[in-house]
Amino acid sequence: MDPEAIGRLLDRQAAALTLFARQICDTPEDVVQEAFLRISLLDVEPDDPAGWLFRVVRNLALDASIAAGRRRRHESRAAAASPNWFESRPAPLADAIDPGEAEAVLRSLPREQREVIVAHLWGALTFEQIARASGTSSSTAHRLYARGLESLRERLGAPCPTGKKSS
Amino acid sequence: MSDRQEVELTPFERSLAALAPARRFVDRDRLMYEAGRRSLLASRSRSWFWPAVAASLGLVVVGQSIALGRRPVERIVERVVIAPAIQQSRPEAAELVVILTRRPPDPPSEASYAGLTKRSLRDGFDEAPRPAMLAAVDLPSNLPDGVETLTPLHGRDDGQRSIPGGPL
Repeated sequence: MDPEAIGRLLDRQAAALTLFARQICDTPEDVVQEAFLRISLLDVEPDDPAGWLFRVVRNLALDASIAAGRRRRHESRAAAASPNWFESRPAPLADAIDPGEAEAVLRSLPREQREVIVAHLWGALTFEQIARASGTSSSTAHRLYARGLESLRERLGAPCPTGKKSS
Repeated sequence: MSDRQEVELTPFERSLAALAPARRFVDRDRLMYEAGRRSLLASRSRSWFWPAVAASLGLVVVGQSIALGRRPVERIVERVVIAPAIQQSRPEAAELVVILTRRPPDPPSEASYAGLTKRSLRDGFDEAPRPAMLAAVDLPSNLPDGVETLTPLHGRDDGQRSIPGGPL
């Protein structure tokens, strides 16, 4: 694959992929790096590079979690062990969400909901792409996203939306 | 975030998406270096694969050619082999063959009807044998009752002679 294309994918998706892999395993950087190495060895660029990367990262993260035998323990104590999920802001805006608070609330959600929220909000994947990456249906992915987002809104104290989006 | 999400996301989702994931954990330079190294290793392994296969097949062809050239020529060797005599089969084991042939008919005897007819045609009726010839035939002595011996007409002395075929 073209190195410049890999560089663009790295700039655009590396952070979201790392956050995505962090929901599953405790070695997200290694998993993301391995996924980029694999896509760099492909002779032909995939039709959906972002979806391909998220699917490979998910599989590698699951393998890493199972191999380490620490998947459940990681999910329960990930907050204390891993570094911050989001970049801190020097001067948060009035209506902005605090990164630390968002991280804490996000950690409390089930893993399946966190995967979909991270892939959709920070990975910019559609629900069809998320479904292909996680091996579920798009309706299931949408349902998980809606539940997780509602939990985040309630716990962060955000006001209810006036209009529902249709993605 | 992409333009699609900027348009479709709700304000709360936009606020969440505005949070930048921590990105200091992926070493870009190290990643690109490792990608180049693996690509080189992969290309080297792929560049060696087909030449190795071709060389192996070439060795096989050369070996078979040499083996074909050194193959011994086929020679025809004639040898005299004395075979033991074949044992005769036993007589009882021989198959019985019966040949039926048609035997020529026996000539008619002088006393039979055919013989008399033939003699009469050849020598004339007058030369026919006398009844004595017929009388000479031995009759069985134990004839049953009621059976009489006929007296030949030629034995009568009435001077008449029968003419076969009736009066002319």
